[in-house]
Formats: sequence, structure tokens, C-alpha cells
Amino acid sequence: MNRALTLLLGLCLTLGWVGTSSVAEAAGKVKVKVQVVHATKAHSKVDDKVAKYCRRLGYTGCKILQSEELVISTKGKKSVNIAGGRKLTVAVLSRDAKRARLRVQIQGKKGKHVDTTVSVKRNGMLIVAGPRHKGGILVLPIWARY
Amino acid sequence: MTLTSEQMKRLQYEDGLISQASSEGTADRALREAVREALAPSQIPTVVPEVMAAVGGSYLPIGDALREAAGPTPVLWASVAAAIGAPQDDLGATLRDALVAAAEDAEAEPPSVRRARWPLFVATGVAAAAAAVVAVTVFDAPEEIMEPVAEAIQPVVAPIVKVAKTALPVVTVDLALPGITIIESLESETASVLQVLQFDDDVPTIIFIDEEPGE
Repeated sequence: MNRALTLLLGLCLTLGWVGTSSVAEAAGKVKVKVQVVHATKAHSKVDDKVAKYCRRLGYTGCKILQSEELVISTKGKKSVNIAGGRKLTVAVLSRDAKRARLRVQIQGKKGKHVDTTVSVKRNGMLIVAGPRHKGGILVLPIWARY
Repeated sequence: MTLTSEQMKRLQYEDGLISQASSEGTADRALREAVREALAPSQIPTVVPEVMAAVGGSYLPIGDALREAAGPTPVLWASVAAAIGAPQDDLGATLRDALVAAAEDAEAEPPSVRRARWPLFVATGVAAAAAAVVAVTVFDAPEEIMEPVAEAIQPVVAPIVKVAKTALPVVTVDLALPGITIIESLESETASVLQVLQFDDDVPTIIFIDEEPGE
């Protein structure tokens, strides 16, 4: 019985993932995955999923604070609140078979940390890093999948 | 004025019209030999010792005198080698060894292989240098930053692909630099320095916002 439930749950999750991807593909949407990572030199605890990015930037400790998935239509945008009272806004300006054009904004209390328009390879990623947070910085890997 | 036959012969001899060895020059030749023998000294006096004794010095051959004054001849190579940082070994032996080694390498290695090393090295070097250029600070503005970053990056990226394709035709992977993100615009109100980092061509581009600690 438990085995059957497990299989059913797995099937549902798979169908859900495929369904989400299919929706994003069919309707011209882009699934934007964002992680908010706190990188610091105060300790050496590292989340394996983001270890290499932190080490590249010279930080010893990394912790994933937040993980978001935003399904955004072409010419649409979505916002999410992130650490430090900041707001991340991602807009999908356009997409084609190879690339997606995104506008990424991080609004802080003292102004825009960044406002950039980028062209990311399909299913590729971009990293925005640097806003200061609790003795370290925030690192935001942003994937564009469709 | 008339000349005697003997005087005529002397003039002809002086003008080269007759030979001293000819019968006409015999008398003149005999006369010259007689005069030379009469005037030649019985012995040639050696005057140098007397002159040196008169001026108060002792006679020495000049070469010996110079060698005595200069002392032992210094060996220059040791000091030259030390000055230029070269080994103080026998220079000739060193050069000979180098030539022998080079000749052996040339014989052992196929010429095509030796030629192939160059473009490989150039391509690697150019790619590494270009990657390093991408990784340096792109913008440094104290206040609002708004620049067409794509224009700054694209000329750097393009040569990597071009050089690599030309010099390394065996590379069949996609040289479109998959990790490269094209940045069309980049703006910040809080950053003191904005950096676009590309550590390798297959890793994500990083936009790094360097803020003052108080932010």
C-alpha cells in the first residue's frame, strides 16, 4: 500500500513538473528560479548547492536563505521580497529558441542595488551578487528555464 | 755640352733604357758594388744599452716591460658571468652542450609536431588573456551607473572564438561560450564598483555589486 502511494506521489510530482514545463513552453512563459544565498567569511558552513559560487567570490560560508520559482509570461514580471527588506523584480522581455531577455531589479532601502537587462541562454543562469547583508553579502543565482 | 759614352750609358741606365745586367751596365754595376763595399761598416754598433745607460734606466725589451708592469692577466669571464647572472662554467662547453642538445631534439622530433606547438600556445595564451580581461572590473562609478555593457564585453569575447576556431580546428565543441550572458544595460544606485565576472566560458556570468560597508 505504502509502495503504491509512493509511486502515485512520484507520478504526480513528475506530471506536475512536466506540466509546469509544458505550460511554460507552450504559453511563452519562462520559469525563473531564484535562490537567495548569504555568503560570509564569518564561518565555514557551506551549502553544497551553492558552494562553488561562494568560493569563486572568496567567501567561506554560504547558506541558502530563500528559494523561489516564478513562472513569468513574456512581457510579464513578478516580484518577491528577499532578505534585508529588499525586493527582487524579474521581468521577461522576450524569449526565443535560444535565449531569454530578462530585466532584473533589486530594490533596497537606499535605492536600486542593480537594474540590468540581460540575455541569458535558454536554461542558463546568471548570478547577481554583492548587496551587503549581516556581515556578508547576498548572492542570487537566477535560472531562466523554458 | 757633350756627354761621354760612359755618361750616356748612366743616363740610359737611370731612365731604364738599358739593364744593369746587360753588357752596357756592367761597368756601372761594378762601380756601385765597389762603392757599397767601401762604405759598409765592418760591424753595426748596438747603441740602445749605451743610450739607456746615459738616461739612467736599464734596458728591457718593451714587451717584457709591459708584461712586468701589468702583472698577471685577469680572467674576465668569471666577473662578466657573475654580473649577468650566467653560470661561471666553461662558456664554450656550455654552448657546445646546448648545440648538441638542440641538434638531438631536431633529429628526434618530427618537424610537423614542432610547428604545431606554436598556434596551440598562442590560442591558449590569447584565450586566457581575453578571459582575464573579461574578469576585471568593467565599471567603476561612484554614483549611478548606466552603461551599455554588451558593447564592452562583446569585442573581448569575439576574439576568443575567432582565434580558437582558427588555431584549433580540432575543437568541435560549441564555441558560442554558453555561460556568457549578454548584458544589455547595467545600472546601480548603491554600488561603488560594478563588476562583471566571467571565470570561465562555461560558468555563469556574475554581476557583482561592490557596496560600501554602511549600505
